[in-house]
Amino acid sequence: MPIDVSQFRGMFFEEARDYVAAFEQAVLQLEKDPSDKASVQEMFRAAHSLKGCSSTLGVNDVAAFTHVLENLLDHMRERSVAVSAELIELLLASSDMLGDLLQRAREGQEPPPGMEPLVHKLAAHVRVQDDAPAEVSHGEDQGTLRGDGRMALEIRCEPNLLTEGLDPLPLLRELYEVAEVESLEADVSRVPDLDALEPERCYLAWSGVVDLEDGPEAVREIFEFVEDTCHVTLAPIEAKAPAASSADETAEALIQKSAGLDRTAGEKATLRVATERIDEMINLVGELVIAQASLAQTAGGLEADEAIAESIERMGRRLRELQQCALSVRTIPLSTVFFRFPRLVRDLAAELGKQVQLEVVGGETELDKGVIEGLAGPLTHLVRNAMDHGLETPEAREAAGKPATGSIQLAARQEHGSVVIELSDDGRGLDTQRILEKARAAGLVGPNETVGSDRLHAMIFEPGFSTAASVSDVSGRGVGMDAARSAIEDLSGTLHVRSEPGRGTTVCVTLPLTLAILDGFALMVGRQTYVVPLLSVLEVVKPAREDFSTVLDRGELVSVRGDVMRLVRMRDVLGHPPALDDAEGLIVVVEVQGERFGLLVDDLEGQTNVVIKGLDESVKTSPAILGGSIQGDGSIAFILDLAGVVRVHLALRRTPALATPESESPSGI
Amino acid sequence: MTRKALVVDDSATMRQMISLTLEEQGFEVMQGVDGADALEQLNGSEVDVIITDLNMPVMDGMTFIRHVRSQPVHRFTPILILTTEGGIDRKLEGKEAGATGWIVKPFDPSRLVRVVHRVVA
Amino acid sequence: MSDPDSVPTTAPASETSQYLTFALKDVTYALPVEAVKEIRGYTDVTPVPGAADYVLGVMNLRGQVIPVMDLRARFGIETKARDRFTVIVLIQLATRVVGAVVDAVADVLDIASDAIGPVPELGETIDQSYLAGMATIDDDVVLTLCVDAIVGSEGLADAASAA
Repeated sequence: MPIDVSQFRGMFFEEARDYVAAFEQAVLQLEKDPSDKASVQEMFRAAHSLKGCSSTLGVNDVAAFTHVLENLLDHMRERSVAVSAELIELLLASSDMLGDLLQRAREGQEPPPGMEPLVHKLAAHVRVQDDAPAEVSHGEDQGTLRGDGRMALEIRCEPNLLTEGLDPLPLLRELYEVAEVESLEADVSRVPDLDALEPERCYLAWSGVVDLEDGPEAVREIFEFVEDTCHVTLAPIEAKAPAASSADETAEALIQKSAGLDRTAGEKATLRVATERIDEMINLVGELVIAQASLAQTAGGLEADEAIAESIERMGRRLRELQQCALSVRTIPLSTVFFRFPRLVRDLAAELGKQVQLEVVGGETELDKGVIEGLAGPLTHLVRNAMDHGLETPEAREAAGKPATGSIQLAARQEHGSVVIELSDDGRGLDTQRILEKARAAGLVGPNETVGSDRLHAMIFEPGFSTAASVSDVSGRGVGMDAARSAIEDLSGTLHVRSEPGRGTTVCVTLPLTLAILDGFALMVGRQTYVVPLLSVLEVVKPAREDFSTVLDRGELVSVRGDVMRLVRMRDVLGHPPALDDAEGLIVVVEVQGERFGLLVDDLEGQTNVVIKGLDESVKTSPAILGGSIQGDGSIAFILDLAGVVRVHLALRRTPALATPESESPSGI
Repeated sequence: MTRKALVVDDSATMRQMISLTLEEQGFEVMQGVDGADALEQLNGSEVDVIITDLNMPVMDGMTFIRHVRSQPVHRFTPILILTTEGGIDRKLEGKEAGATGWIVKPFDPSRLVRVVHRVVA
Repeated sequence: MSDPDSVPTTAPASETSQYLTFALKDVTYALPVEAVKEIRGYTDVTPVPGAADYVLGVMNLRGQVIPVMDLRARFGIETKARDRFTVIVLIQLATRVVGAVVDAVADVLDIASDAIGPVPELGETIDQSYLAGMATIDDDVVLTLCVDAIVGSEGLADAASAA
């Protein structure tokens, strides 16, 4: 039984997103290089594939729209249509329309009102289509043949049908199934003499009389897919069969080659799999790794013989390879978020009256899908901010002796177990003096306190901080940068800023390769093991009694090699009874939201990899707890959310809150 | 013996739909994302039928068909074009390249099945 | 409530369903057996910082981290030291497993659905919202429980009402 195609709708919508992205990218490429035929071809292909799938799946609005769009693209492909700014706008609007239509189709909504006018514009752009698209013509005099019984049938085949992969016998057999065949004879008149006979050629034709109760369509349908090879004529029995249509002579005409394809990247075959299934697999592999660790531990305790210990060790290595391999299934290239930026930068530049050259590097760097999905929002904020506040206007740039066109670089690379994304601009740089004034005004910095430039730079991520003299619509009113930071931290990532006055600003985002497995650092508080993200840990020191101090308006502090930071008593934060002696513990220096904190813990267990397990909704936990994980010995360790730890600490200390942002997803993307 | 089919289309949705349709019919299905990939999949081996799209990156359908048809082992292999294009010029070009037949999208599984049975005995 | 984790607590009229009965203080409670995944002897659990007081902690159930609640504390009855009868009843929901510590399990009973009546306003009893109904079996009163209410997250309910 043939399959039900509607089950593919979900898959189609997923895939369609890629096509729309490819389409938009090609439009931007064409704008850059109007002579680039390959980008027109790329657009055509995207529209074409969308049309094919959407018409099959009954996504009719998309099918109708892509049909019109495809016409225009076909026109562009075949004629040298001037690439005007107007045309680019039209194509970009079409790209947006496709995204919108797909979204609406997915939600079962009507197409937007903008579709009609856009369709008209697209159609208007296709000038006089002098040669109307050659629709499939059935050649014969349709309409005169009704289902009125007996007909003369004639089948003439091209002699080379065998080498076109066609065997006429199954077709004739089927003919007997759909029609009452009164007679059918092979016409052998064209079979040549034996010495001239080529065995691979077919010299036969057939003619006969058939009785067709349901009209000729059933017979035509059999031969329709080979109508250029097998010419079928059906005529009412009284009449003479008309000559078959043939346009073979024009075969040489107009063999238009598809435009040169210089795409070299060999695209690999892919398989779309539900994320939950991948996660389940990764989880199981994680459990397996832990089970192996526990087995190794047990075997060690038994003083088992060396051969066993060795095979357990070997199994461990294979398991870790398997884990790496399983994790890589969840990773996708960063280009899947980077692709949006050329368009964003282009539109923003126009809006802000700035000239910008965007360079994107390292889009092939792969990251966990979950991380990538969470990254689009904060990265967009950062790019907007760089465009709005970082880069100067062309006039200001020229006045400062810089090229009028500013540059923004988005570069990604992998760096021991993490991915680093740097967003650099060559704009005016951060105005540390202004930041300091604002920080003093906001009470974030004491009136006489001196602050290093690193900490001042980090202040731009504080809620309510905006350094631009005027507030624009583009990067909002200082919301966004703090939201961007919390979004990055929600992904277990960190954010750093470097800036040089007049030379530009670089925001550096460091992210873990995967979310499913945390590269962690295990520590003990009370008798419980907790795990913090390794990326956040700067160092661990054994404090001396004199390192602790209390300052009236800042609470308890601890000095680590002369660097004074707030002390966070983890026993208090996590509800364990207080320790007897602070100096018995250890200080773990972590960086949270640009500030260093000294966490007072009881002991260390060291570096560890843990599979994060969410806690059940009925366990209403402290904001300090991110989740649980199972350790090699089967016991449970809790994974800490450091931003939450700081929140609990501040709530306990009742110190004026430096920052208590609820982790919201960034708004206004 | 299990019959084999090769499905070539750059759209994963399309590939999947065609493949499942053929698998329902007892075919063993190989998939190619474009002409070049499909040639690699084929690697000179025999299949009972090839179903290909025309407009694909890297290597388009026409080029792919010419390559396949030029291999002795595929002299008689049925090659069906499944496409949205239906122009007479393209059809003639397909024929010249060595395609067996032409199915115009929208894709209808039962029509595909009927046509495939006509070329695969 | 369109909670996907819903477990039916009452069967259609005149059908008989099986219930697991257990004791808390002097009262016998009953859970539909299809909501019970398994019963385990009490083992120590890992306390969770900041959790509600009736949540004893979490345990490792074959690689899953599952919560364990003290049903006495949940019902507002004074808690009691664990003894050799104390067990953890693992309640199975569509996508979750939640452990509940009870004094002792008693029996598996067949209770006809028409034998279950509404819960009368008893003097001192637990929160009515946890109870689905009351049945009298051989002169003993059995209170059937509403699984959703017991394992439901107050957090979610609070968030919804605060919004």
